[in-house]
Amino acid sequence: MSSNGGMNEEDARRFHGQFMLGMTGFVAVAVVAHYLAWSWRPWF
Amino acid sequence: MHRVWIGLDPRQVLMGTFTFVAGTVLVLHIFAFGQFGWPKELKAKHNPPAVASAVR
Repeated sequence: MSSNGGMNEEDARRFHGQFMLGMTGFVAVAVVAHYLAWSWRPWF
Repeated sequence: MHRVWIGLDPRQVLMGTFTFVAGTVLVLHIFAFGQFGWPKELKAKHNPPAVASAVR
């Protein structure tokens, strides 16, 4: 981490890995939720 | 791709992303429940039409 609290190249690489992991998890949960909602009540 | 984060504060990035996603998801769910007619059904369930004989 640089002096002004910003990320350097290595931090950014690690942060990006975690960020993408979190986003992928979020999308996976959303896909399951939409599948369940569709099987309960299709919306078109 | 990771270079976009260089120089940024990870806490601010995560808080900003979380706030944006939460707000968007809230608005989308309000719209989606409206599409399902959920508020309409709830209103009908709790406000049954008045019975004709009850009116003098």
